[in-house]
Amino acid sequence: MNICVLTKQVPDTDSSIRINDLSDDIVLDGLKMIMNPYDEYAVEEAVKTCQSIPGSKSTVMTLGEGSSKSILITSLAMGMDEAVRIEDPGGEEDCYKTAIILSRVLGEMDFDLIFVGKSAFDDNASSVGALVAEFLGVPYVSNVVKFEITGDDSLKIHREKESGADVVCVSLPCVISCEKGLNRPRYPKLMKLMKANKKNIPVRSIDSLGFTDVEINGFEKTKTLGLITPPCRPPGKMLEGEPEEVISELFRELREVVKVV
Amino acid sequence: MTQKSKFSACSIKSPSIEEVRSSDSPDIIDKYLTDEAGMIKGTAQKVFFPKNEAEVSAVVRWANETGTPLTTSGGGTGLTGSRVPLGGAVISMENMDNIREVPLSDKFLVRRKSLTGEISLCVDGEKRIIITPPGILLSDLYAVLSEKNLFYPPNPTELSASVGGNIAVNTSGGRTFRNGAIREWVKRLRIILPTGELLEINRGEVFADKEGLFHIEYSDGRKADIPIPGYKMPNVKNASGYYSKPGMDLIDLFIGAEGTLGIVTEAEIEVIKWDGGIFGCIAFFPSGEKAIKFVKEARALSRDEGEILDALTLDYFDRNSLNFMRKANPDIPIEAGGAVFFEQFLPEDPDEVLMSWMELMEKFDSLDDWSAMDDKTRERLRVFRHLLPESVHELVRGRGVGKMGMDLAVPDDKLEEIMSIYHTSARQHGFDYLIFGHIGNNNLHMNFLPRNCDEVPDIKAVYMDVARKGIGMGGTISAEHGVGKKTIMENGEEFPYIYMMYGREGLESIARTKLSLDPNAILNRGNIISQEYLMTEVGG
Ligand SMILES: Cc1cc2nc3c(=O)[nH]c(=O)nc-3n(C[C@H](O)[C@H](O)[C@H](O)COP(=O)(O)OP(=O)(O)OC[C@H]3O[C@@H](n4cnc5c(N)ncnc54)[C@H](O)[C@@H]3O)c2cc1C
Repeated sequence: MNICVLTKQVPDTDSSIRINDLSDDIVLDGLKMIMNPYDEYAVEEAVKTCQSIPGSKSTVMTLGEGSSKSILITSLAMGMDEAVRIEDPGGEEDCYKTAIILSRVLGEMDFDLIFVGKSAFDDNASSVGALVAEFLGVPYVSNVVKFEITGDDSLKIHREKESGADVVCVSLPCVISCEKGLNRPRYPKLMKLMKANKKNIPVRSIDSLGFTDVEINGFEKTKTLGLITPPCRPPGKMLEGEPEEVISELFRELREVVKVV
Repeated sequence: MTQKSKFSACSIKSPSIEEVRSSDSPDIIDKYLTDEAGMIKGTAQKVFFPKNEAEVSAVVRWANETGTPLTTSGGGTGLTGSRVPLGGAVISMENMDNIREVPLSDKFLVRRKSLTGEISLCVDGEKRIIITPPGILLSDLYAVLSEKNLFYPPNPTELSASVGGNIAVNTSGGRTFRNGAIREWVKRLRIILPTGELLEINRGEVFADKEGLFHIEYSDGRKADIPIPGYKMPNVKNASGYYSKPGMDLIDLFIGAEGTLGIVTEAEIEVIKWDGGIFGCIAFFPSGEKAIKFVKEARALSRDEGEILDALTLDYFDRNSLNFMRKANPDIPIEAGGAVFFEQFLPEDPDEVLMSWMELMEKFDSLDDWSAMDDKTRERLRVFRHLLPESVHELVRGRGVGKMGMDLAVPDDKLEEIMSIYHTSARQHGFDYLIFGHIGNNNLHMNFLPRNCDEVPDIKAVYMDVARKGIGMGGTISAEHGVGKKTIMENGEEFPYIYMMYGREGLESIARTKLSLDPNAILNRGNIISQEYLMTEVGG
C-alpha cells in the first residue's frame, strides 16, 4: 500500500504570538516552529499501517520554507520511508492554493491512502485535506479516531462528532483527517533520527509542477485583510467578606453592573 | 588588596501596612497552609499580597515591630514544608511579578500576558542576563527565554515554582549535572532584611573576613556582626542549611537560606545562550546495573574536555519507576530494568555526537530509546520525566500519608553503594518504593510509597537509617529541595533534620547566623532549625 502524509509547520502553541506593524502577518522572529500537532497522529497512523501491511511504503510531504525540513526529519525519524518538500518561498496561507499544489504532486504518485491532521493549529481552517480529496476525486473522512482495514480496498472508520460518533465504510483511495485519540504518536529512535538527519530530502519547486502564471494567480481564493489580537479579557473581580455579604454584593453586581439578572 | 567584609542596609520609603492588600479570609489563607509535599499543615491569621518592594518592606517592618512571625510564600511547590506558616502572617510573592524599574535600556523590557495577568522582566540576550522580580513563575520565564534561545541554567522542571523560591532553596534540576545549581548564576540580589531595610548585593563585592564575619551597618547607624556557620559542607551537590566557606561571598549566605534571612525582591541571573539544537533521549536498559554503568561512562566522557560527548542532563529511572509509569505509557519496554534520560547541546553537524551516544547505548545493551532533536518531542520527554514525581505526590496524598522522598547526594565513588542500600533497606522490610533522579550528581530521589499510615513510623526509621549512611559516605541529606521543616527523632527527642549532618554545634552555628540578622526570629520560623531550638540553644 502507498501511504502519504501531508504535514505543515506551525508556530509552537506555547509561543506568544505578536502581530507586525502592518497588521498583515505575525512576527516570526523568536517564534518556535513545530510540526502541527494533529499531523503527528497522521504520521503515527501511516507508520503503523505501513508496518502492518508488508511491502507498503510511506511518504511525508510538506509545502513549506527551508526551515520546515525539520518536521520532515522528525517524520522520517518516526518511521516514514520518504519525504518531499515543495519549496514555498512566500509561506503560503491560502488553503485552496496549497491544496491544488499538493494534489498536483500527489497526482503524480500512485497513492492509496492519504493521512492529514484534523486541522492546522495556526489557521484552524480544516480545509486542505478536504480540498485535496476533492481535487483528486477521492472520498474524504474527517475527525477520525479509529480505523481498520476491512478488505483489499476498503476501510471501516470511526469519526467523532459533537453529537456522538459515526461509523463509516469507505473505499480506497481516500483522504483521512486524524483526530486526537486515534493513536499515541511514537517517539523517534536514535538510529532512525541519525538516518533521517543524513537523508537527502528532495525539494520540488512550484515552477516544476506545470502551472501557468495565470493559473497560479487564480488559485488564490482568500486575502488577508488584517490581523488583530483578541481583546484582553477584563480582569476578574474578587469579592471578599462573609458569605452573606458576598452573596448580596454578587447579586448587586450581576443586576446593576453586568446586568444579567 | 584587602577584601571588603562590611556592607550597609538602607531604609526605603514604604507605605503604611494598611495600604498593602491583605486578606483575613480563612478560605484564602487556607491555600497557603501547605506545599506540594503535603507533609504538614500550618496556621496563619493573615495573608499579604505586596506588589512592589516598598510594600514588602512595609509588611516586614510591621512584622518585626509587632513580633509577628512572617512566612514567605512563592509558588508553593516546595517539598519540605518550607513555605508553610507556623502562625502569624504569610507574605505571598505572587503579585511581585513586574520589574521594579527598567534598569537596563527599554529594549530589554519583556512584557507577557500570563495566567496571573501581565508580568514583566528584563532580558539582555547579548549579555545573557535577566533581571527579574521574584514572583515570576518558571512557566513564564521559560517561555520568555526560549524565544531568545536562552536557558535558565539548572532547568528545574516544576513550572509553577517561582524564581524567588528557586533562589531561596538554591534550586537545581536536570541540567545541574553540567551547569550546577542556581547559586553560581545569581549575580545580584535585592533583599528586604528582617528590619524592613533594603540590601543590594552584587556578587564579588563583599566577603567574609578572616574571623568568618560579615559586618553590617543599618540606616540608623546600628552595627552588627554576622558570623558564617562554622561547619564544613560536604563536597557534593548540596542544599542543606546555610552555605558556609571561609572567605565566602555575602550573596551566597542568602541563596539557599530558605527565606530565613531576608526576602528576595529582585534578582539578576546569568543565563545560557544556545542557538543550536538540543538532543534529548531516554534510553532503556535491561537492568539498573547496566544503566548505571552507562551513566558512569557518559559522566567520565562528559568531563573529559577532549571528548565530544558532553551531557547536560543525566537522570535515572529504576525498574519500579518504569513499572509505575507504564500504565500511562504502555510503550515503556516491559523488560526494561532501568532507564537514563540525557541531553546534550548539539553542534551544527550533530552526526558525531549522536554516533557516540549510539555506541555508548549499544555498549550497555540498550533495549530501546525515545529520542528527540526537535523542541516539541524533547518537551514530551521532559513532561514524562516530570510526571513521575507528580504522580508519586498524587499517590501518597491520595493515601493520606504525605511525601516520604529522600534527596540525598553522595560522592561519585559511592553511587553504587548508596543505590544498593536504597534497594536492600526497602526490600528487607517489604516497603513499596521507587528511585529516580539526578544520577549525574549522585542525587537520587528514593521515594517510599507507604501503603497506609501504619507503615509510616517504620518507614521513617529506615529513612533515617539510610540518610545516616549517606552522610557517613560524605554526602548530604538534601541536595536540591532544602531541609525546610523536616525533623528527625533521636532517643525520643525531635531535632531539625540538619542536625543529622552538623550535630548540635552545627545547629548553634546556624542559630547564631540567623539571630545576627533576625534577632526576633520573624522570618520563616521553623525553617532549617525550629523556633524552640533557636531560642533555647542560643537566645534562651
Ligand atoms: C513535581 C515536582 C518536581 C520538582 N522538581 C524539582 C527540581 O527538579 N529541582 C528543584 O530544585 N526542586 C524541585 N521541586 C521542588 C520545588 O519546585 C522547588 O523547591 C522550588 O524552588 C520551590 O519554589 P516555589 O516558588 O514553589 O517556593 P515555595 O514552595 O513557595 O517556597 C519555598 C521556599 O522559598 C521561600 N521563598 C519563596 N519566595 C521567596 C522570596 N522571594 N524570598 C525569600 N524566600 C522565598 C519560601 O519561604 C520557602 O522557604 C519539585 C517540586 C515538585 C512538586
